[in-house]
Amino acid sequence: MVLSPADKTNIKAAWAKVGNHAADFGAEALERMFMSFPSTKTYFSHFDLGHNSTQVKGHGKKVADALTKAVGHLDTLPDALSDLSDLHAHKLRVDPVNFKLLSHCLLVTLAAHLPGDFTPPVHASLDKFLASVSTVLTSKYR
Amino acid sequence: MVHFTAEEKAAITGLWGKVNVEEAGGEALGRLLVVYPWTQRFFDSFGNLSSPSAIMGNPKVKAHGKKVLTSFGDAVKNMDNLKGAFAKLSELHCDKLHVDPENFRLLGNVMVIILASHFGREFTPELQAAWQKLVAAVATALAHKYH
Repeated sequence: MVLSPADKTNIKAAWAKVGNHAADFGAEALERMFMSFPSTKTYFSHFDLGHNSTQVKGHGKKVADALTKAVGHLDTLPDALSDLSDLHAHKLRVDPVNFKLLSHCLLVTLAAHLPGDFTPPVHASLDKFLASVSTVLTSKYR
Repeated sequence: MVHFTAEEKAAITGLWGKVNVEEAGGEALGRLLVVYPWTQRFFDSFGNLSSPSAIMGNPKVKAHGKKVLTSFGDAVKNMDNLKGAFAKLSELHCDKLHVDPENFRLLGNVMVIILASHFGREFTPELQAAWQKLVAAVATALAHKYH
């Protein structure tokens, strides 16, 4: 799957609209994921997963910062996310199916907060973007 | 068999009451065809699907989307017996339409996204969880008669 020039424009524009809500959106996406897909909580047995958890907020910011970096390096995703890719492959070993679940919840969060901007073409580009990031993060698994 | 709590049922039916089925149906099917273009394989007879705006404005897409979402309304009314309610449709999708059940999961998730975009903050994580349960159960029910 390749990100077209139009995709890249859509992704950057959408992320600019997210602005400094990125950390909040990251945390909300995680909360949505834990609630809709309880199996995802198995990776966070060491976390307080209650509403407004500081740990979830902190982790949401981590996820958001990584996505912000990815948006800034759409042409060189494998390179930009190389360290995170190593981390997920050798230390975290999150089953690949879970990246789709978090990606979906990120899209739900964006749709809920930016409905006017979340047009079908933008929805498509963001779906492709998150799929590309997921592919990079699982690329060194075996 | 999936069991919905009283709270989940109330949450789902409460939201469904506010959905414009005609509009949301067209939007859901349209977005499916835009975001996952390979799903267009089932709709060769629908005419112009050459761009997002062509797809979203296509009258056949809108009409079929309305049909699909109206049928989904039956799910909301039959949450205690989805397999029974969708038995005939399941046979149809397998034997006549030859639709890979993965497509039901894709459409279900697109529907959840549309609900989020329409209802914003009102579409809380709890509400989303109830809806994810329903769309997953409908997808399973529609796949149940496959052979």
